[in-house]
Amino acid sequence: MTRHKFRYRNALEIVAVAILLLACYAIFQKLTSTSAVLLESNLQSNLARASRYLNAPRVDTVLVGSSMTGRLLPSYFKEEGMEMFNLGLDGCHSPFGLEIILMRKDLPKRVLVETASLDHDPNANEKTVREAIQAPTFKIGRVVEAFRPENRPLSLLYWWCKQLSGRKPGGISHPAFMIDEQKGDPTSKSATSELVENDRAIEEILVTLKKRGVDVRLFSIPHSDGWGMPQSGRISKISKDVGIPILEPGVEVAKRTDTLRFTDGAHLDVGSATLISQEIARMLRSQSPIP
Amino acid sequence: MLFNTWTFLVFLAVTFATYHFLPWPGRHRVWWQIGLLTIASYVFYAWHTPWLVIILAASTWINAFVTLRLVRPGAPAEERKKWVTFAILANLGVLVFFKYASLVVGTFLPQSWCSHWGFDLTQIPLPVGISFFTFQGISLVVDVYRKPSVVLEDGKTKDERRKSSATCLQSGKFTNSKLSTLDSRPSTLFFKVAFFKAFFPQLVAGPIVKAHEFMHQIRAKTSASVDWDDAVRKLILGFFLKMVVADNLGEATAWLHYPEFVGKPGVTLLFMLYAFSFQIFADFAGYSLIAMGLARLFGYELPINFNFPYISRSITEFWRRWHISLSTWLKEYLYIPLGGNRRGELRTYANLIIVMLLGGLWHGAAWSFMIWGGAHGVCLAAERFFGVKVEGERVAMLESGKVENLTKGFVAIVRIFLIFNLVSLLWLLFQLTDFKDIILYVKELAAWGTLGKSPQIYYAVVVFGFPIVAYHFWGAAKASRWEPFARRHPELAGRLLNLAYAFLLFLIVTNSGNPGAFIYFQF
Repeated sequence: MTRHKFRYRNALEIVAVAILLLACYAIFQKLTSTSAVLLESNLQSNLARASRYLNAPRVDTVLVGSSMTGRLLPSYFKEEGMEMFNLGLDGCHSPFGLEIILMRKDLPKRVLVETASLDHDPNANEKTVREAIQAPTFKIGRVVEAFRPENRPLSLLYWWCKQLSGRKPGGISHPAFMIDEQKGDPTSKSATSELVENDRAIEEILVTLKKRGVDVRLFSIPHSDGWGMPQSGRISKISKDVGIPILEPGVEVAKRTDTLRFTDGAHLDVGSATLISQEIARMLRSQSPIP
Repeated sequence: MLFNTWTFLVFLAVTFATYHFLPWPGRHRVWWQIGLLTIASYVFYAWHTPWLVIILAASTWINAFVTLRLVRPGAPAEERKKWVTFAILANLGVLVFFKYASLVVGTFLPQSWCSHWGFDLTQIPLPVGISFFTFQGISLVVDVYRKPSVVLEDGKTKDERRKSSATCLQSGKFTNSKLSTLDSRPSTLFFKVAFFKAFFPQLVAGPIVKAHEFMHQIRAKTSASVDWDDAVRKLILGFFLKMVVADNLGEATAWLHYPEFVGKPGVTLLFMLYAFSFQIFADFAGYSLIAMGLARLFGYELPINFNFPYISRSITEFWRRWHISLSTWLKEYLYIPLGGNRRGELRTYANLIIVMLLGGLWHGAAWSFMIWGGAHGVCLAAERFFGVKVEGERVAMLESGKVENLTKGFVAIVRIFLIFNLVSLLWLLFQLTDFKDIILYVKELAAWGTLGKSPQIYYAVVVFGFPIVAYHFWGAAKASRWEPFARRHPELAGRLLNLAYAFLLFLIVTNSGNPGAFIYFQF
């Protein structure tokens, strides 16, 4: 049973070749700057969005919200001459996105916060994303590009397949990521003690951002149940307490058209998302320039 | 503590370094080493729920106490029989109380009964790994009852002892090999039993180690006895299966619950079924390989648990390849004592079904697990009835590629495909424990709706299922193709294998999924 001869040559060779592969992949990443924009699951997509935000050069305007906000692609804003980073995280509520913003030392000049996702309670899937962001692997990714979620080799393969097949955006939705969005009208929630506690936490983050010189605004995203409807009392109270204006692009668009379309009752289709994005850009331009 | 966490990595590094590199005094080296590993195992087990160690310790104490009674010189046969019966009942009692009380009470007794007595038996928490360590306890007492020397000897032949002694002297690690082996005093047996029951690599999800496979390995170990090549390969393959395959497939199989799957098209439902089939294999085989690799690091060898189960051509073969440590346990400690196949055909069929029903129930406290086991038992009995044999057969086409073997090969591949689909369908009973949900799933699958396809799920199944298919192909062609090649070109074969393992390691680092608990922890 006990053979007194060290057997480690193959083990060393395996580890050495793996390190070599990793180095080659890191160089490939550096040279080509290839990364996946859409990943194969909600979780990985969220991690990739967070990672891209944390590792990207500073952007003036950041959109924060849920997957509904995720449909408002930066390219739609670009058509209106606005540079914007979309931090819409599938199934997550806005304060989590704001926490990610606060992870960076250099804050953006303007943050737009989706109101619907402020109404959501922190849930299990947000916990999963939070844990993954706090994991050492994600932190190593801040330094070594090859470790970043958007650079996962098989996610890159997915993204390339996606581009080749020319399909619309999407990824495996984990059921947990869908629950909040399918609950119906989020503004109908009663003000339980949990929600009051939640609101207090939201207000604290918003005040912190304001104190640090960030121009914070809330914006409502149209929902198929009532996309021209006014805000809930809770959101109005937060807006009033913190002194943050609410942009209601849905109300403005409703004056001109009644053709907003949704892919599943909650998420805008490409045309409608473009309309809403352009309306937000117009409203921002008309109200005030970036400080 | 989970194997796939950073906490475990630190725990392992500290335990490994202390175990191998602390200058334990040669004479008592084995004591220190198994003492250290036992303490480390208790820390590992108690990490998230400290009170659980009480159950493990109590189970250990009962089994050690009975073992001491069984090995006592001159103990009458009648007394020994009583003690072994007591130990089996005690082990099963612990298992039944913690695992099945809620099922029995919830099914057969009215809710008011529980509230009347002031406690709710349906709310008893399930200690992780209890099914595994109670089965090991039963294995210990039965093995000792059958052959007391299982715990008294180091299991080596005279020749092996002589060789080992010579090498120990050469290495200068111990001056007296006799002293490096635990002696047979009753007081030392307790520590051997405690170590056997708690050894952390296999504590919570197996492989189920039998006393006669493990006890003889307990002796002083040195870093020189570590087979790094084997340990590293097992760890890499295990972590790859768990972290890259199972965890990524978990995103797709999260929909395999009611009501999430309702309204999905047939092709998506079929892919989800395959996804779960791949996931459960990757998850459990991954765990077993990690456990084997970890045990190797400490100089121990755990039994193989999976042998390419998805290339089985019959359910009988499947059970020789899937969760081997459980199926052999059931065979040795249940099927054979029930009479096995020695009491006529009818009794054999009955034994097969009884064993599989109980084997199914071992997996979880739900009737669906029992039905799952029963379905496998019926298949085993039916195969025996129809004379389906697999011994000696090989996948002919893969073996030689000759034209005359093509028909045989084709039949084998069709059989593999059918068995894989049958096994995958039966996994539904694992995932959906409510019968209404299972029937609904099968109905939706049969209806084969075509609206709302999910290309992302297909992508996940194809990409993360591919390693499983490739692994099984490799398993099928290993003996006939790979091994002759490796004999002809050992250097090249070694390099190719190393390159493959290096690539797996690269994917573990760059492409792991969301770390989740091992599926078999719930059992």
